[in-house]
Amino acid sequence: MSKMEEKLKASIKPRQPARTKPQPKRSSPGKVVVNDADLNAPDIPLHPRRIWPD
Amino acid sequence: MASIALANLKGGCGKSTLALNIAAGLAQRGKVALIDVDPQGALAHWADWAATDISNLRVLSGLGKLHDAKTSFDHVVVDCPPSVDWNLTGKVLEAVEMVLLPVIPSPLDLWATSDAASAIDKARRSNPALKAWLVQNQAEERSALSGAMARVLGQQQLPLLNTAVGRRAAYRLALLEGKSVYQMGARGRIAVSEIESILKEVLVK
Repeated sequence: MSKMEEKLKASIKPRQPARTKPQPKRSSPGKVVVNDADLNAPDIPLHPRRIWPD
Repeated sequence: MASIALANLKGGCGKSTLALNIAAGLAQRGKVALIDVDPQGALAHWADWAATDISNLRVLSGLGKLHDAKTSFDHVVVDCPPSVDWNLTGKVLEAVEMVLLPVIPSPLDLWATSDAASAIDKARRSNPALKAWLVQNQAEERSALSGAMARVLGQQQLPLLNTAVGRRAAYRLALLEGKSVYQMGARGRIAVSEIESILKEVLVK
């Protein structure tokens, strides 16, 4: 093999890999749905210990 | 019936000139539609400008003509655009039997063959029977580079035709005279033998 041939062979760019199908976009997290029951639930005060631990 | 596309991702490799002369060669055997799909419209312009009248050969323009031409002509030759995105050419390759990819003896053309091979693979997903060959164009017999290119091209994924089309004035002169090399008489003798040799290779393979 001549030097010119070697140089030509070495210069060939690698083949591009076959394109794969684009992956479907991941769905973004949906909106937080608040149940009516939650909205109507009585407020439960935090236990004082949770705020002022012993 | 033969339907042959001349394609390459790279411009300036002599697709249109080869398309015309291959079409003229097929016109010795039957009615031929030469369809210019290249948006540059070089062949359509040539046919208008030269008011060419080659027996059995009609030059048409646009991809839309391909489907009808396949039923109303004996042979169809399509000159594809040098398209990087391969969109238009891809549609042609889905509809033809074979494709020739001219390569001139330049590293730039050699590098473009890798992308061409990928594009042929892609086309074969919808046209599995598509035959494809590289063909050396504008080869120079005494050039070391031409020889080295031929040997390297012969080792690529796409097969290389044995026939090499030489760099000859006859091909360019014919265009200027509104002819193919088949109408050039003695001046086109060697060029005609090259085109005939290509046709013999692709029509039997």
